[in-house]
Order: sequence, then structure tokens, then C-alpha cells
Amino acid sequence: MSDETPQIIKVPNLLRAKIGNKPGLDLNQIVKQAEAALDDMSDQYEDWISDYLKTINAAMNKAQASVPPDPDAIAQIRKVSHEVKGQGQTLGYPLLTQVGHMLHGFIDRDEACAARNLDLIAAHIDFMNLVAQNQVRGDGGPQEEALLAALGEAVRKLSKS
Amino acid sequence: MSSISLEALSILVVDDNKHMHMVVKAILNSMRIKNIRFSDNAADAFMELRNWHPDIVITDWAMEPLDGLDFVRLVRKGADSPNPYVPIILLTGHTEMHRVFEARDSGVNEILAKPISIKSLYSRLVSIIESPRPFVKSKRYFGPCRRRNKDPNYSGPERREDAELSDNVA
Repeated sequence: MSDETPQIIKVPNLLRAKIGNKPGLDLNQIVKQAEAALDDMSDQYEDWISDYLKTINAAMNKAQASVPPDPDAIAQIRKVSHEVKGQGQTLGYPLLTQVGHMLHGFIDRDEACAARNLDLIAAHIDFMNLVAQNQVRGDGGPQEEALLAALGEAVRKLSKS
Repeated sequence: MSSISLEALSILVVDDNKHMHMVVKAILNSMRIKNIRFSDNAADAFMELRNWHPDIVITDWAMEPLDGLDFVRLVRKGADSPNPYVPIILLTGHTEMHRVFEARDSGVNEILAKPISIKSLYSRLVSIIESPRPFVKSKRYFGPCRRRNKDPNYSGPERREDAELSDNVA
């Protein structure tokens, strides 16, 4: 057999042996307990969101302070938008996950284009601030829906141009 | 899905975001998994792997200076890796298809999208235990077999570098 021949390696399943045959919790029970545990932490969520928004607002101010914008500031906005995307829904704010997803995608696809369109980045961040300040949990209402759609449309137009 | 007790598992969570540590801990605790450690960067995680020998690693992708995939490659291919076969779940907000392929090709066992879903995390853990995939070692890849399904009707050419495969036991 040559050195280039791929090998299939059967790894002994030590984990199966380790956990044995003890029955576990029902999945619905696990979900209920996890949701309750996450709810118990919810009084901290406002602080977490507030921290993210402070960081992203500061990065936005830094980006707007120079032409062209400081690349580190844009990178910071991208990073925080990614965190907001990843945690918004878990923290009870699915709208933050949606707008974080949109903003992260906008910067990630073409950072130079995003840097030339700071107003559009600012509009996403304004939406985040609006959701947090008004504590818009869940999917929001028609106003939030319209704002999200407008942001999405603006990004799409730029992507086509 | 089979109901198996996961409480004997030890899990290393690697994420540079402390909030995610708390979220993942709450979810794992609800599965009665208490033996959990946290690292906020890849270098510390590598040390934990060496000194603590967790059963499973859950890692974020977006970290600095080494990102989650750098960490996975170190674990899988590093000459001084303490356990190249440790099951790794990548927890990530990067869900674009090209990113998923990039993650898969780094050698992760499972990919779990953020926002984290309780059911999805549970199913990934159960899958690692109940349906472990063999490892493949080739010129370009080392990690869990990337083929999840065998199609009995597939009649095309073998697409690995060489059809002759050897069966080894780690």
C-alpha cells in the first residue's frame, strides 16, 4: 500500500462504554429545564446586550471619525454583529439575531463596500439600539418588520451595483 | 431519539465570549452534564486537552489570535496533539455553505449553528456517542469520515484518492 492510500481508522467507541446504559432524561424534559435555566439568567441579559451595544456604538463613532474609516473599527463592528447574531435569539431578542445576521453578512461579503457605506452600517446599528431600548422581544410588529425589510433591500441594491 | 444519560461526559467549551460560556453551561447542566471546563482561547484549550482529557470539545470559530478551525487543525494534525481523535463540535454563527465545507474539511465531527438550539446540541452529542464515524487519514485530510450516508445505489467512480482503503484500529 502506498503512502498516499487513504486509511480508514476505526476509533474504539470509548464514550459509549463510559456512559453505559443508564437511561437519560427525556428530551422534552431537558428542553424545559434548559429554558428555565436560561430564563433564570434573563435579568443579566439586558446588561449583556447593553455591553454589546456600547461596544458597537463606540466602534461606529470611531469609524465615522475618519475618512476612510478605521479598518479596526469596521472589524470590531463585524465581530460584535456576529456575537449579536449568535446570542440575540437566546437572550429573547430574535430581531437582534436577524439584524446582526444582516449586518455581519453585509460587512463580511465586501468589507470595502461596507466601509464606503457607513450610513447603512449606522442604520443597522440604530435598529439594534431601537430594539434594545424599547425591549422589543419576539418578532416585533409591523414597524420593525418594515425597517428590517428596508435594510435588507438597501443591502441587496448595493450588492447588485 | 434514544434517551441516554449524558451525565458521565466531560466537556471542554472553547469560546472567547464569557456570555456563551454561561449559556452553554446552562444547557449542558440541564442534560445533567456537570463536568465542564471553559477556555477563552485556543492555546489554553490545547493545554486543557493535554492536562484534563475531556471526552468532547465544543469550540467557537471566531476567536483570536488562533480561530476555532486553527485549533481543530492543531488537535487533529499537530505533532504534539494530546488526542487527535477527540470529538469536536463547532459552534458557529458562520452558516454559509462555503464556511460549512471549510469547517467540515478542518476535521470537526459536528457543526452547530448559533443561535444555539437545545435540541440540536443534544442531538449532536447523542450522534457522537451513538453513531461515531471512522476517521480518514489521507494526504490532504485527517478527521472523521466526511461521508455521512452510504448510497447503496451509487455506481460512480470512487472519489477518494485511492479506492483501496485499509482498516486500522486506533
